[in-house]
This record gives sequence, structure tokens and C-alpha cells, in this order.
Amino acid sequence: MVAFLDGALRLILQPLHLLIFAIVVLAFVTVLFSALVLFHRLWMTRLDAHRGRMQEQWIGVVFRYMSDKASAADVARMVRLEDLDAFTDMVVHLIESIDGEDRERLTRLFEEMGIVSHYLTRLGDRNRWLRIYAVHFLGMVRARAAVPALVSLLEDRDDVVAFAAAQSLSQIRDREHLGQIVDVLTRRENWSEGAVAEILLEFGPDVAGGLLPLLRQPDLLEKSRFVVVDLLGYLRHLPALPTLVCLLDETAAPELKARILRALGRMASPEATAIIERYANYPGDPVVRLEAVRALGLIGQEESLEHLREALQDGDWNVRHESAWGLIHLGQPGIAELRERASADGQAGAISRQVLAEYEIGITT
Amino acid sequence: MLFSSLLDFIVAFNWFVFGYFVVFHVAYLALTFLSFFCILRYRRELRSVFLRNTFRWAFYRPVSVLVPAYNEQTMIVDNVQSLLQLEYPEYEIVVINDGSTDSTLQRLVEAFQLVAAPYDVVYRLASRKIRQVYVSRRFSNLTVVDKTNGGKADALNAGINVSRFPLICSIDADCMLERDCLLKVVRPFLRDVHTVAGGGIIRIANGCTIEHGQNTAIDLPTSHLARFQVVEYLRSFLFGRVGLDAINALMITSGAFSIYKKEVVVECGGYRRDSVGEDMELICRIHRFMRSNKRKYRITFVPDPICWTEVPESVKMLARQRNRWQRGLIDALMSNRGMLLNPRYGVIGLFGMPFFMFFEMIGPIIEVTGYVVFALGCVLGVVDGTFALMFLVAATLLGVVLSVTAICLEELSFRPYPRVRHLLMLFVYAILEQCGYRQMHMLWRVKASFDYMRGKRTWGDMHRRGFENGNGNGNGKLVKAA
Repeated sequence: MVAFLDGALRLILQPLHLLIFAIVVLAFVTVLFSALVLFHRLWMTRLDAHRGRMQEQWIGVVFRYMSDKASAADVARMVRLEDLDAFTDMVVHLIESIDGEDRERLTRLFEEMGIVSHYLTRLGDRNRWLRIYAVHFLGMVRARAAVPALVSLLEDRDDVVAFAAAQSLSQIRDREHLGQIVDVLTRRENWSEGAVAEILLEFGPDVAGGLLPLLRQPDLLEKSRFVVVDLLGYLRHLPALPTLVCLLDETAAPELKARILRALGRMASPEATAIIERYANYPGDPVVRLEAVRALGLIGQEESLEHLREALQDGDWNVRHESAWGLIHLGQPGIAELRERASADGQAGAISRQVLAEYEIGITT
Repeated sequence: MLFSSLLDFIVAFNWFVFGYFVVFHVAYLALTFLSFFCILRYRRELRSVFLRNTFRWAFYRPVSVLVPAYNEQTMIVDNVQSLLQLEYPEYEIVVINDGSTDSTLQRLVEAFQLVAAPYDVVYRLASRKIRQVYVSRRFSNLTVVDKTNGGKADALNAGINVSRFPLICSIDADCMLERDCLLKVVRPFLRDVHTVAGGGIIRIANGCTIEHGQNTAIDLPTSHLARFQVVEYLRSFLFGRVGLDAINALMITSGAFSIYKKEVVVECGGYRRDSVGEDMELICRIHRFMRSNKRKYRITFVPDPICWTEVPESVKMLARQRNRWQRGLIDALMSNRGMLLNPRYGVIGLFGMPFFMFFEMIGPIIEVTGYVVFALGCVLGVVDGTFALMFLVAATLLGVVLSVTAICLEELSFRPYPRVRHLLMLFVYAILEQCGYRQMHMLWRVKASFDYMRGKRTWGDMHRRGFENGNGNGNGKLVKAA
């Protein structure tokens, strides 16, 4: 055997023979890849056709179930084990577009068919993507039976799994563990602000009460502090006003100042006007001034006219543009001010003319 | 003596070409397989929970979509219509009419009810004079800038000067975007605050059915030249760039579709107006700027098919395009050659720059010279004819393997071409590509290298057929003009 291999190697390793060997290997690889791809395409085409036919039957029996004309056993008889994922995908797609009693019926269908138990078992699968999809499914069907398992997955080392668990719990509206969910979300560094905010928003406006105390935690991640401020503003949680006002003056971070000003603008409380006006000519980051003038425009107090007028001469275009629109939002006094400025030269005049034209054409911000 | 030296040179050069050939293909195969795993992961992540309702969230990043247009009367209305249908919470479209001599501006004015409006332009970046800014009565997020001609880079700079938002997305006027493309391409900026630039996959729209600015039926082009380009785009876009992104060595996004943080572009000085490869040149400059200033950053690539473009179907237009691309590549690399093999620039200096310089910039010259020297060697008897033939077959097959691998991986990932006959056709063209098209392409790139050395810096005219069926309403297949 060794002699044979040795002889074969000596034969192949001559340059010409090496090339011929390479050609044979490459041709084989080309044909193999092409065949694999074609086989995969043909198989997927057949599978798609099969699933298309099955889905027509499944839709019928699922709707009969929802009309109490068929039982879960009737539905289960039409679904083979190998088609379970496809059936689940189809019904989950339905669930995503409905709510109320119909959604609960479909969840009950999954429970009666044993599908919820099946995915609960998958939560312990070694394949992370199977775990993630199982977590996702349990959240979609709002399977309350999955809550204990999902809560334990909040501490999973895998960020994607933990995030999926948090999102599923938010879809199930598990308020009992809201504190734990908030704690995990605000501790993880790898999750984006938007993703964290989306999960918390699923709990509705009530989540704001649980977020407010976090602002005073010194070890809160900066990213999480931003999310909390943004959410309090988005939800217009007025009890947060005093805390936000204090934080605005205490913090030296321009981005946090800007976000607080944005939140105050959304709250549109006249009580905050005086402090916001102080930031309309903030000497540092123009984003702070931008949010300040935007907030003044949203609050719409006529007393802010002077500050908005001054901001028309700001060095930053966005600040000038926003302050001009802020004047528009003040109504007639603001519009009159802009018309007066429009006749002047310089940056204030140019931005006034632009925004007046936008206003008259009907463009809105 | 001279003859003997010549023979020695031929032998040595042939060995050099052989070694270069092996290294080149091994590198590309490695990138292809790296890309495969990245794409699989990306698709799995898309199926997971991140993006479902992200943009219900009020604090998204608004985007300014910049569309430089020069003599684009056939396509500009379709292009803007498709942009107005994008699914994104807040964005604006800034079309920059770069001194067109046709009716580009008139078509925009008529189609979108534009009116001239005063605009306080801040010239943060150098650009030619802006004559007038137009806004739309119907679409509050559409702005058209009319300026004197200055080239694409100049037009983009003007667009940046007019744009309002912190992210800028530059697209070509002959492109159509998928509705959710902004959602997908902005996602890296949300996940990682250090992301400063990104790009996406460009697909070929020739042969597709475009209705109301959307691609409603995907098909292969009817022309052979465009079909070769489909295979080529798959190989270089989908797997070349994704692979480079995986190792953070991406040095080109695409001029047809790319997205940046505006402030970073402004800090770098904007697009260089005397460059014909302004997209790659800007990316190289961003790398240099960020690394020189020791700032953490990421340039990323979204492997999702999100942008459809028309490709040339005539040899003359294709040659012109590839000439410009090669000159742009050389210009970008030579302008930033200080990064080459410089450890101060990390993976860009030690891998990215050498990769592009030796394989993309010099590669065509080596390959074409290799053909000539190889043939000469055969004629002079220093190279065995059988060996030469076998080598050519092996080289051809290796090229086919790369293309077939790209098609294979495309099938296992995105599968935009729905029919089996599409797949079979792609295989056929993956083989045929090596029998003339590739060689022709190499010759164009060699010519481009000489053009660059002679100082040629122009764009050349590109003729577009558009997505119209002849009556200008933007519907119908992309078919050959009569």
C-alpha cells in the first residue's frame, strides 16, 4: 500500500502530471458543485410546490378550527412531522396580522397540537439558531407556559438568544418580570439602543414608571441612559420632568443634554421652557442648540420668540433651519418675525426666505 | 547572450506568473468561502428578531439620498419614483442635476411639480456654483439642485452641502432600490456606533420587468454581454466584498450605492473632484483619516440584494465603463499609496492595499503579459507545448470554479433568479466567460492602465436605454432600444 502510494505520488508530482491531476480535480469540483446546486434548486422547487399545495389545505382547516367546525386533532391529522416548521411558519404569519380572540384561538391550537411543548423542548437544543427560532415562536404565540424558561434565557451568554428571550417576554407582556428584563437590557453592552427601546415599548406606557429610577443609577451604561431618556420623552412621561431638568444641568455630556432637550420637547410642557431657552445659545455642540430650538418650537410659547430669533443667526445651518420652523410653529407672531428677517441679508435672511418658501409651498418638517 | 537572457527571462517570468496565478486564486477562493459563512450568518440573523419593528422607534437616523444626474433623461423619473417608495421613517431625496444638456431637469420639473425656491446653501465642501434649488409641491422630501457641470464627485459634494441629515446615501441615477434597502443598510449604523460607511449588493436589472419604479419580475438579460456581467457581479460583489468586510479590509463599496456618516465625509474633505473613481478614493481616504487619527471605526457591507442597475450591453460602452473603473481604482490606490504595507494602517495597509494593488491593479498587466510571454516561450521552445496547453486548461477551469462557486453560494443564500433555466444559463456563461470575455476584459484594463499613465481623467459618455417601454411612463421590460 505504501509502495503504491509512493509510486502514485511520484507519478503525480511531475509538473505535467500535476497539472493533469489539477485539471481532473477542478473539473470534478465544477461538475459536483453544479450538480449540487441544480439538485438543490430542483429539490427546493418541488418542496415549495408541495408546501404550496399543503398550505391551501392547512388554511382551510385552520379557518374551520377558528369557526369551531374542526378540532385541533383534525388539524394535526393534516400536518406531517416533517412539514411542522412550514405549518408553524404559515400560522405564525397569520398571527402577526391579527389580534384579540382570534390570536388567542390560534395560540390555543398550537398548545392543543403539542407544538408549544415541541418548541419548549427546543429551548434546550444545542443548535443556537433552533433555540433562537423556538424563543421567537414562543413570543409570537404569546405562550405564557414558556415564561419561566424564557426568564432563565435572559442570562444566556449568547447575546442573540438573550435578546430574543427579552423580546419574546415583551410580546407575552410578562410584567411580573419587567424589572428583570429592564435590568438585563440595560446591562448588556452589545445591544443597540433601537433594539432595547423596541422591546421596552412592547410593554406600553406603563414601562416608563419602571425606567425613571434608573436615571439616578450612577453605574448605568451610557447607552442605556440614552434609551431611558429617549423613552421617557417618547412616552411623554411628565413625572420625569423634574428629574430630566436636574439631569440636564448636572451632566456635562453634550449628547445626553441633547437627548434630554429632545425628550422635554416631546413632553411639550411649558414648565420646561425657561430651562430650555438657556440652551438655545449653548456654546458647545450645535446638536444641543438644535434640540433646544426644536423643543421651543414644539412647546410653542410666544415668550420663546426672542430666543428663536437669535438662533436664526446661529453658525450651524440645522439650528438656523429649526429655529425658523420654530417661529412658524409659534403662529402669526413667528411668521411675521420671519417675514421681517427675510428682507435682510446674511444667514438669518437666507434661512428666513428659505423656510418661508417651504411654508408657503406646503412643505412640513 | 541576449537570446540566452531572453530565454532565462521567459522561464523566470512564466514561473512568476504560475506562482501569481496560484496565490490569486487561493486568495479569491478563501474570500469566497469566508463570504459564504458570513452570508449564512447574516440570513439567519435576519430571520431572528432584531429588525421587525425597529423603525416604529422614533429615534432612527434620518438619511439624505443623493442622486447625481448628468444627461439621465431616460431614467431619472423612474429612479426618483422608486426612491419615493422607500420604506423608511424619515429621509430626503436630493437630485443633483450636474449641468445636463438634455431634458433631465425638465422631466423632473414636470413629473414632480417642482418649483424654484430660495435655499440657504452652506458650502462646506467645494463644488461648482449651484444655479437654483427646486422643491416639490407634491413630495416634501424631494429637492432638486441645478448646478453647473463639474463631474459626479463635484455633484455629490454639492448634494452634501444641501443635505440636511446625518447619514448620506449616494446612488446612481440609473439604479433602482428595493423598498427596504435603507432599513437594511442603516442597520449596521444602529448596531455599532463606530460604523462610518457601508455599501450593498448591486444586481443587474437588464431583462427584469420594472413597473412603477419597482422590480416586479426578475429575469436574466437577453444579451450575452449582460449575462457575462451577471456572473461577474455575483463573483466580485457578493463574495469578494463580503469576504473583505469580514476581515475589515473593505476598500470599496460602490459608487452606485453607498452610505456614509456625513460628518466623517466632511472631515475627510468630501469627494475628490478630479478623481474618476471617487467612491473608492473616498473609502481609502476615510481609512487613512480614521487610522491616522486613531479613531475606532468600521466600514461595512450588507450582503443583501438591495440595488438594481442597468449594465452596458454594447462592447463599446462596456469597454468605456471598465476603462473608467480601472483608472479610478489606480487613482484611488496611488493617491493613498502611503498606506501600502504600512503597519500603522493595520489590516488595510498590510492586506487590503497589497491585495488591491497586486491583484486588481497590476493583475491585468501580469495576466496579459503572461499570455504573451507564455506564447513566446512555446514558440521558442522553452515551454513545453503540452504543458502550456494543460496549464491554460487548468487556469480556465479554476476561473470557472470561482464563478460556479459564486453561483452555488448565491443559490444557497439569496436565490433571486427563480427558474431552473436561469441557473443553467448562469453555469453556461460561467464557463464561456473564461473563453474570450475575461481576456477582453483584461485587455481593457491594461489599456486603462496606460491611459492612466498618460493622464487621462475623463468619464466618457454612457448611453442608457432606460426602464421605459417607449412611452415614457416608466413601465415595461428593460429591452434593447430599436
